[in-house]
Formats: sequence, structure tokens, C-alpha cells
Amino acid sequence: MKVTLPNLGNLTSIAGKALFSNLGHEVILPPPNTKRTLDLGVRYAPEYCCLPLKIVLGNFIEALEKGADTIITVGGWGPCRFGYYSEIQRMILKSLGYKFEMISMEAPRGNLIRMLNYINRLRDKRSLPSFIKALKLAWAKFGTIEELEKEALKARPRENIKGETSQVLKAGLSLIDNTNTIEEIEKIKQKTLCDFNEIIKTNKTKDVIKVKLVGEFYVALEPFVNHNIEEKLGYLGVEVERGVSARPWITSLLKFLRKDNIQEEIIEKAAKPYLAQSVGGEGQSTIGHIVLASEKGMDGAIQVIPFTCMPEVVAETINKKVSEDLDFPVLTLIYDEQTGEEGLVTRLDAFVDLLKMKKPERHPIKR
Amino acid sequence: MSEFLGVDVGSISTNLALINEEGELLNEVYLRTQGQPIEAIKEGIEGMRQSISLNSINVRGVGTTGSGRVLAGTIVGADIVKNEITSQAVATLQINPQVRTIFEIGGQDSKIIILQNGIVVDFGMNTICAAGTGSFLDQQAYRLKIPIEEFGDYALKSTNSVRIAGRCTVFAESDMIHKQQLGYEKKDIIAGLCAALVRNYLNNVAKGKKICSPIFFQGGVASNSGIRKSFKKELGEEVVVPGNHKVMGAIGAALLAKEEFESTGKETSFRGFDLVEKEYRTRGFECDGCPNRCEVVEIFIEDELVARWGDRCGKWSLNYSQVVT
Repeated sequence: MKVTLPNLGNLTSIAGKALFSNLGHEVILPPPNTKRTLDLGVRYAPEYCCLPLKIVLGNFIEALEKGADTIITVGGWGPCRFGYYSEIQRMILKSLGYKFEMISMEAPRGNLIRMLNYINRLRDKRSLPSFIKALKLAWAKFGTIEELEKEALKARPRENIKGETSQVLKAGLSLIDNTNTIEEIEKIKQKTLCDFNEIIKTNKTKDVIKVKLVGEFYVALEPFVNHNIEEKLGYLGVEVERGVSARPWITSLLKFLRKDNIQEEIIEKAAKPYLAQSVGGEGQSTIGHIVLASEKGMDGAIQVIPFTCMPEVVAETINKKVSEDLDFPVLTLIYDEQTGEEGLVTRLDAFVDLLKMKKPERHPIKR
Repeated sequence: MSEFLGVDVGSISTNLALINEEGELLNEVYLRTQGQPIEAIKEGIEGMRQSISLNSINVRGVGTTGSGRVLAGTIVGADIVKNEITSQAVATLQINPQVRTIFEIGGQDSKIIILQNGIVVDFGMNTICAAGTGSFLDQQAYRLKIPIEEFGDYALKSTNSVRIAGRCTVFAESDMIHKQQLGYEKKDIIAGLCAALVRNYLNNVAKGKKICSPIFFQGGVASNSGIRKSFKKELGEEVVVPGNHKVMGAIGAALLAKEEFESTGKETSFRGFDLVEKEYRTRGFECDGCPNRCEVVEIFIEDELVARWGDRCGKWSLNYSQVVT
């Protein structure tokens, strides 16, 4: 099988690749997201669908062009329209004449047998222990990538040389990509964390603005789609804390294994006064994260939404009230296929100014 | 003496303001960008140079703002490059420190800024379309063969305003044509259009925001008396249009440059009024490093490369704002 996966930041291109290549498949990754990916997605996807569907469709087309024959993706019930996306993408690609098979990993809802069947296929006759070993390694890479990316968010606003942090991160990730043991991953992680620490140490006392990044999963995590918002904010002197990350998302998909997802419960509870039930997607947790960020004494939050995303639009409307009640600034950014960045940069710049102005004692001069 | 220059390069107009160390406006220049920001900036600097006596002027700081702020910063040598929202707010606060709401409607976009106790607490920019911005009014004035300067006064003459759809320029325009073919008078249609634009602005840009007095209205569209009247009617509140409403962004940029100078004491990077005599050139090329095919723009002064931007990956970027901030 020549397996491919949708792009999602560094996660699928490193951890996803590791998993499937260790299972003995040839992995053909889609090229990094570019305007061409976007163009292909926009051309063939239904107009009213959200950007994640379009970009991922573009990924699949580009990967199939490179020779992939099996698409691995996620889908199934929930969390929003996304549940149907793999099916729609499959139909579109078939109608375009591509020959491939699509394996959509779905959280089992009563139908464990189908899930086990898929796993069996992917396992490719490997013994269970070696399957588990591959899984563990990929999971370790997955966790490390997220951890390093999060630490980079702390280092970037404190760096003295612009781009230093991104370089350290890139080097660390590339080492992780090329290693195949959990011990090595751990070593690389410690080394990279040390490098970040060096950067942080130089400006330890610098009082940076702290912003929580919340919103729709894919837009928040895919830098091409969100126009590198984390890096842009970092350069504006903002420490970003991710409200969205992939690991809890996956563990929440595996909720049927563990009922006690504590972190999720805290977020849900925080959102309760404003939105007592799930509205699909990350709608409710967006609100929960904002409430928690305010309680933690952070300076503000930025919500990122793909245009036409229902759950986030619900959250956006409620956020106005949350923001007013808690006196906590929230900036909402809606992403679609535009590639011009001027409007985005202006909004970010103005929002950061606003947050700084709110703290006159901390930023007495620069407005 | 110390003076500070602010340059606001918008899509439609380019404005310059010169202030003294007290923050008082000494001179202003307002002109159309006409799709050529570099030419407009040079023309603006030239206009400024001619109307002041250079001997008594010592520019200690320059600030740029507007959608062309980075380009402008490169051309004039800015000490601070700031977004339009902060610039507008700073300029308005100088007039009235108690201001709570600023409507800013320019050529291509419109904004609302909410302030409390002298600081910006919230803002919004138009997210839907150009409905309600200067360009659309320009276009309609042209279609009705009315000079844009008189457009608003037509609306004031109306006693029987016609309802025009305001949500989108497409709907607005077809509604206008339809009403016009029914025989409504020009002045009534224009009054209806003004009301529709205000409704659109309040429903979209200002959606969900608490509008408190004092309210300031600035930007090019604030010259339009019809829009001003519609705002007052819709809100039932006094709407203040400051005398320098067209150049508020530039004044704000100048004030920010002043603040920057006062806090850092740094020597200005201003290239001087002589910059108009220099030759500025831009060159663009398409990078073929990846399928993004970014359009990279290079800015030259007398054949010296001073800035380069436009690439996503950063391999070409030689950004002036990096040098400045």
C-alpha cells in the first residue's frame, strides 16, 4: 500500500509518517500546503464547505498525483459536518477518476468490528507486539512535537534574534523525524527544550502579553491555513497558549476507553454558564477555554474560525457576552481562501496594542 | 524646534500631517493614492515641503499608518509603523480624552473603535464587503453623475427617503436601479442609500458593540453630510466630525512618532524632504521555489535595494519594519 495522510502542521508529516512506515507501508506525503493545494481544493469542493475540507481535498489530489493509492483520514460521527468530509472527499476524488482506497478511521460507535477490521488491514500481517511498538513510537513523536511547538511559543516573544526560536524548533523536529527509538526522541526533546530555555533565559523578566488561541481544530493547528498566526503573534511579542491541541482531541475520540477525561470536564464546566451543551466541533470548548484563560489572568484570546463553521459561529456570538462579563478581550478571525495578509496583520497588530494599552502599568510608553 | 510627521497611505487617499512638540497640527496634505502609493507619498512630501518653511522645521520623528504603511515606512524612513486602528484612536483621544466610540469609514474598509477611560477596549473591521465604504459611494455618485462632494447634500434635500437594501453592494445597486426606474427622485434614492449604508455599518461592523457617546466619525466618508445625518438619526445621538477628520490617521501616526521619540530619544530615520528628488523603483518577481509562487516585491532607492517582501516562507524578506521595530 502506498499510504498518504492529510497535512496537519508537523503532526501527520512526522508522527503519522512514522506510524505507517513502521507498519511496513510506503508513505507518500502530500507536498506542503501551497496556493496550488488551495486552488485544487477550491476548484473541486462544494463552494459552501469550509476551508479544512478544501485544503485536505487538495492534499489528497496532490498525494494521488505523486502515486499514493491509499488515503488514511479520520471521519465518522461528529464532531460537526466534518464527520461526513471523508465520504464527500472520497466521492469527489472518485468522480475525478482517481483510483484509490480510502480508510477513514472512525471512533467506533457500537461497531467495534469495523474498526478492528481497519486496524487489521493497516497492521499488514505484523505481529501484535510490533504493531503496538509502532503505535507507541508514533505516539511519542506526536506528543513530543506538540510539546516542542508549545515551548517554542514561550520562547519566541523572548528571543533576541528574530527567527531564532523557529530555527531551533525546525532543527529539533527534523531530528525527531529521522529517529526511530523512543529513547532518542526523549534525548532530542530534552536538548531542544534546553535550547529554548537558553532563549527564554536571555529575557526572563520580559513581561510579555499572553494570549490564548482557541477555535476550530484544523484552522488553529495548520499554519498554512491560519497564515502562521502563532509565529506572527510571537514576533509581536505575544506568548501564545494553545487552547486546541491534537493529543487531547485524539484521547477524547478514545473516550470509550476512558471515561474520566478530567481536562475536558474542567473546560466543559467553565463553559457551562454560557453554553450548557455541546454545539458540535469545538464550540463549547472555545468558550470554556476563554473563561479559563481569563481566570488564569491571561491578557486576551483569539478565536480562529473557518468561514461557514457553525459551531464556532455559535461560540462567537456567545463570546461577546463572555468577553463583556469578564472584561476579557477576544478577537475573532474568520478564515477563508484569501491569501492576502494585510487585513490579518492589521487586526493582530491592533489587538496586541489594545492588550498592551490595557496594562498601562506594564507598558507605560509604547501604546 | 521639534516636529513630527505622520503619513497615512490608504487605498484611496494618502494623507500627511505635520505636528509640533505640543501635538498641534502645523500642516496637512490630503490627496488621492490613485493606485500609485509611491508617487502619492512623494507628491505629499513635496506638497508639505512647499507649504512650510524648511528652515524652521526639524523633523525628529516619522510615523506611518494605513494599509500601505510598510511601503510608506520604507519610502520616507519611518521610526514607527503602526496599524490604522491605534493611529486613529491616538489622534481622537488627543481631541477628546473621553471619547467612547470612533466610526472610521475610508475608501476600502470601515472600522469601529470602542474606547473606555482613554484606551481602546474593542474594535471591529468590516468583514463582509465594501458596502458602506467610500469606493461604493464614489461609484454610485459617478453613475448618477453627481460630484462626490455634493452627494451628501442631495440626501439632505430629501423629504421622502426610499428604502434601499444595504447588506451588499450588489443588492443595493440593483435596488437603486429598480427604484430609479419606478420614478423616484435622485435625492430620495441617495437619501435611501445613505440610510442603507449606515444600517449596514451598524449591523455588520458595529454588530454587538455598545455604542456610547461621545461618538466621533472620521475618515473620508465623514465628509458626506447625508451619511452624517443618517448616523444621527439612526443612533439618536450627537456624532462629532472633527475638523481634520480626513487626516486623523496621519495625525495619529505623527503623535505616535512623537511618543516614540520622547521615550527612546532615538535619532530619526527620516530620509528628509529631499527624498522627492530621489528615484524610487519597485521590481517584482515570482519566486519559483515552490508552488506558492509568491510575488516578491523589491524596493530600490537610486538602485540601492532597501526592502523586499511578499514571500510566505521568509527566504527573501528584507523587511523595513524589521529594521524599525
